[in-house]
Amino acid sequence: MVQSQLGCLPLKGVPIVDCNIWQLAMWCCRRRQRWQVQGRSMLPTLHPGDQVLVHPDAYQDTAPEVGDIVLAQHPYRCELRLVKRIISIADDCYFLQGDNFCESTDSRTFQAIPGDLILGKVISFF
Amino acid sequence: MVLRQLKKQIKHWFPAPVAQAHCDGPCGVYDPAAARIYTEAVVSMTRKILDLQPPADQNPQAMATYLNTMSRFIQIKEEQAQKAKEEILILWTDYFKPQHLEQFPDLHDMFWKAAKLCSSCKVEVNLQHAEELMTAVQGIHQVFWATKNRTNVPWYKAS
Repeated sequence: MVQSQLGCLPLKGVPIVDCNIWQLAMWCCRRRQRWQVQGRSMLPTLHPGDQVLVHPDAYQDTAPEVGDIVLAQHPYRCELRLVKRIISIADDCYFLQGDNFCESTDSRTFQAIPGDLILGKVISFF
Repeated sequence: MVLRQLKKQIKHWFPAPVAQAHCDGPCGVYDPAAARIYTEAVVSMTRKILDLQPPADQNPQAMATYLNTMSRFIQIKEEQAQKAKEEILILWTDYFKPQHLEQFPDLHDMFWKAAKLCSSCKVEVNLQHAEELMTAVQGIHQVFWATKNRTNVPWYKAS
């Protein structure tokens, strides 16, 4: 359980780890994607400017789970990529929310998203 | 230490694409006036493009001036239509909530058509579509303020 430093309610999930040599090697082999975080909605877990590694095939064999931080496609603005946490799952739709949900635009606005809009799992910082 | 240096160099040489931890801030300030101003610019530039006449003679300087002015008009129209579209999409995707859709069932259709008109105004030089976009933005203005139970916000134009 992570306590938000911004006065919001406690957040579910574990802090993501730093990139190790294995993840770096996987990125070199194009098995991981590197993304830069923009915006404050994932504070205190992710800060603006942080870079993260995303595993695009993480959900090929297993389904996304509540608490996972994921890279997702915005349901109405297909060019936009989002970093959010899965808060709940119902009928193969995923309710995403920012950890700093006082300052996040997420599924509370655009509703739960289907699984095919989840593009990968954030597995570590870079 | 080596790994840290390596990552630093990678970040320097290979910029990462951006993933939005999207946030509109806690201020909650939205106003369709921004879309209205950009749309007014689109209408104005469409008129200017249609009114601009090429030089009657073959004077190279006059033709260069004409082409330069026309290019600038087109560029501004393109930019302003794109900005209008962005403002409309922000209202649609960030401000409006499911309860608003219950109140205004044609909300999605209204925004979809408005966004499409922005695209038309970029692609074409069509005064009718530019004015239809203005009408669409006026409709958004009315719905937006109705969701805030504010009936005293007048619709006005700067031009």
